[in-house]
Amino acid sequence: MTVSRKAFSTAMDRVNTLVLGKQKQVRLVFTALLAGGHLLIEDLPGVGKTVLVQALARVCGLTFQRIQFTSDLLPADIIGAVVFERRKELFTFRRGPLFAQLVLVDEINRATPRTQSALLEALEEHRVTVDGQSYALPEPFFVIATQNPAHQVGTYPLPESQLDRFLLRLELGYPDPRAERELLAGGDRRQLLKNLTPCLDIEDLLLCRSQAAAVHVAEPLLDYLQALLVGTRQSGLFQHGLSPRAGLALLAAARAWAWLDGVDFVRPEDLQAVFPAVAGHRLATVDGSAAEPLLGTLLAAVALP
Amino acid sequence: MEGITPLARRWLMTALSAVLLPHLLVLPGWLALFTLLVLGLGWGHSLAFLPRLPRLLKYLLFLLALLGFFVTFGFPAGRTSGSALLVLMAALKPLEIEERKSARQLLLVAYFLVAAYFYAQQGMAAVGWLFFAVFLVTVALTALEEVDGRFLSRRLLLPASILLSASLPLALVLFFLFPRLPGPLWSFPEERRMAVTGLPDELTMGSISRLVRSSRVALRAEFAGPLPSQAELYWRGPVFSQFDGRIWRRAQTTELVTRLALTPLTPLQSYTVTLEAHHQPWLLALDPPFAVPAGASFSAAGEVLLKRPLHQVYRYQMARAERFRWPATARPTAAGRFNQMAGLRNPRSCELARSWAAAGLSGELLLEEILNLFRQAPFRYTLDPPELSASAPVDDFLFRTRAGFCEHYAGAAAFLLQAAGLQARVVAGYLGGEIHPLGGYLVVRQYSAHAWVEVCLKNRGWLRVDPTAAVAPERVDVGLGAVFPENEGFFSWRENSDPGILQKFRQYQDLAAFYWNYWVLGYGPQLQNLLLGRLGLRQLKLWIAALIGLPLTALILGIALVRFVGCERLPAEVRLYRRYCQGWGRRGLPRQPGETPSAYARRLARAFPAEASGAAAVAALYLQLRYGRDQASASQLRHLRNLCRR
Repeated sequence: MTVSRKAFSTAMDRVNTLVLGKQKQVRLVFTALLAGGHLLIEDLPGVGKTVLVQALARVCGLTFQRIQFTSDLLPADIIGAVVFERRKELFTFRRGPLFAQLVLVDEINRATPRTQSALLEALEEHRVTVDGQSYALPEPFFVIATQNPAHQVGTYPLPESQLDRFLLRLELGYPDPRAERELLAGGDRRQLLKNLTPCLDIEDLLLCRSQAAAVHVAEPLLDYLQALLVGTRQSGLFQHGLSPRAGLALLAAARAWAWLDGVDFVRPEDLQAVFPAVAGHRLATVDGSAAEPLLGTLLAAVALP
Repeated sequence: MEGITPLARRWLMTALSAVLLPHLLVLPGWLALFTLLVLGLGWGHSLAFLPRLPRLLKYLLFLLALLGFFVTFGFPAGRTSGSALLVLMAALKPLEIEERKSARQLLLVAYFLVAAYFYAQQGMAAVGWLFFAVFLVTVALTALEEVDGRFLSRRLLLPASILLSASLPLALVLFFLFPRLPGPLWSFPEERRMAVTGLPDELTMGSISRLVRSSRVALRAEFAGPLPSQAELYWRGPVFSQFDGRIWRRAQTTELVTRLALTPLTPLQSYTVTLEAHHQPWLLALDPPFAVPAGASFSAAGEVLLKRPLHQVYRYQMARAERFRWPATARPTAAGRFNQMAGLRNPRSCELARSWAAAGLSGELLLEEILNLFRQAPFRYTLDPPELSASAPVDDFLFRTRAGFCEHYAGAAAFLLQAAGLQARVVAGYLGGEIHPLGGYLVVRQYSAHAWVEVCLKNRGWLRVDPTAAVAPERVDVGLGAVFPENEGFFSWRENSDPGILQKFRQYQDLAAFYWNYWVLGYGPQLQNLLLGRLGLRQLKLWIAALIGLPLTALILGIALVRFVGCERLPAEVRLYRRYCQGWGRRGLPRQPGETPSAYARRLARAFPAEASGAAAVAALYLQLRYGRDQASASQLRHLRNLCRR
């Protein structure tokens, strides 16, 4: 266990050398990877989303594809299509860019709902079906989607039901002045990316995942988790409370977070650490404001058992 | 472990002050002052004028309160001292409250204190205060659970108003239908005599005329049928048959009977008396009393006695007969006979009586001689009798001052009769009463207090003789107002005396008090039976008792059980950790509800850098034991306990 975790934290450190001053966010990205969920990054262009994802792909040794979503993108463009091969005289399936271990979907809210749906179905099922034939997606399959804030022109905001498919949502935000100075003074990001060496392989990653999923969850922690879920449903701050699926997501993320700390049981602080990222995009406040500040209030108010 | 917001603290102080202030009016002066001072400290703290008091000062205040309490009351026993102790401690409590839980408990005690005030006061004003105080306490309870905000916000006031209005119908139903018990469920030790104007339990020259200054209501009475004439309204109270020359005392009550050996010669007329609390065991009844009410009995002297002093308004039914007859042979008793000591103290009067007896006067003739003496010129009836010598009051009155109130004449006459060899006694009570012009009932006030004589004559039994009638006949026939016309406005509310608006107000006030006594304070088992009987619900009472009592008992038992079992089920590490957090809470750093052990440890470390490693160790071990894979072992628990101690 220690060997794979050491490799894992090395990977995290290497990403941190490229994406400066974002330790918490980087850790959340790795949490999503460990927990086997997908990630939604919501922020303005140019704050380092792409660099973060590319660095992740390199250090983890994952095959990487990037899809830029546009309003004229069709489902076949991402999944792939059956084409007739004249030389062999038969129909073959040409795999689309989705067939990679790490897929970066840039600006997911630019595409039409039809294409978004096709993607989200693949996210949930880990397989795509074309002409009645199912094709399994590679394992691990980790999608990081980025989204511009919805008020920008020409976007189709994801409906709440589809936001639920993403385990975590995080915002990168502007770097702090010290990190930004370092970034400006440092070398070319592309070059640095090329210099990154992988320190994990697929077996390591899958082993880490199974270990993270086995992190112990005690009864009192489940009590606390349920109290938090009930809190979102009964506090009157939100339009709807969290779903049971959100509860499962919370638990998986908390396990991964605890595993990254090297403990073999989930503590309340693990749950609190992942709670805003898990719950933030699943909850709509009554007055339409951002959910995160209210989540902080909720965490302070719900008593630990 | 949850803290209190400044808003909640201000509401706590508001509610507590409203609850405690009326108590201060009935408590001894020093206690009231001390409580005010402590409340002031509490307010200063809640409004942030004053810093948190040092612990030593708090202990000092507590000890001071306790010391003062024991000096005033001795060992606590009884309602006055009990509620005084509670008032003191409730006033001190806000000084040390840091947690929401203790504030909640204090507010529950405040509800009880509201109820405890009714030992002292039961009037309508007290009930108005009750609603106000209960409302404030409920608002304070709401404020405890709310976030900080404005003091008078609808968010706080509305829930309390709704709760109270919703509970009012239930309270009324319970008041009228919940089974009433004839006596108190538990009894308190007797209190020291309270300073209440009323008939005394020892009669001296001057103890009745004191009452003339008071217009407090003594009793109200309703008659079925025509009202007796003014001169027949002798309300009989305590009977004094033993005179030692200075003080008239009641005979020791040895045997109690439920019937007097009287034969009514006219049909009995029943009437209902609502007697104000006078803290004495006797009931007032028209002379002579027939048909004793339930729970009371007759003493040998013909007093109507309860088993214990009357501390609340009491409503009972009596009967009277216009004419009656004593049996031919009145049983002679030791009471009412001459006491040598009294003779020695008042030698001249004694000599006078004996000279009459020696001259062969006896029975009616002797009586007539005494009344004749009072009818003669120097004797006069006055509201301000001159001071009498303490050693020989009768001699002083008969031969020197010759001016007195009813008890002077009654006392002197009874003494002369006893000295002449007859059995005689003094009866205290009230004479007369006024018809309420609106309510139609009779109101008897303290200033109608009166004393007269009963003498036992051969073949006629005990005979009522009123010496006051000899000196001031109008007192008996009309009332005090007729004797002292300059004071008539005080002694009466008849239209002709003062038709002003104040008089009308007095009338309505008395009417309200009458219905209050009737429906609220006098609402006991009898009235309830009457009401239920009229509604055809007499059998329903048991059902109501069962329907309300059983679930209530089950609920209380259930809560107790759940609490008890719930406490037992908390694992050892949680109990240790909670105690650890409470310890820090007392030092001003309580753990917030959503604060994780690690975050709490970091906060402690920031406040007390020296404790950083210890706090971190406690948090880590607690997390391991509480959330870890394995059950906590005994050695680990011991380790945690040691860490928490440090």
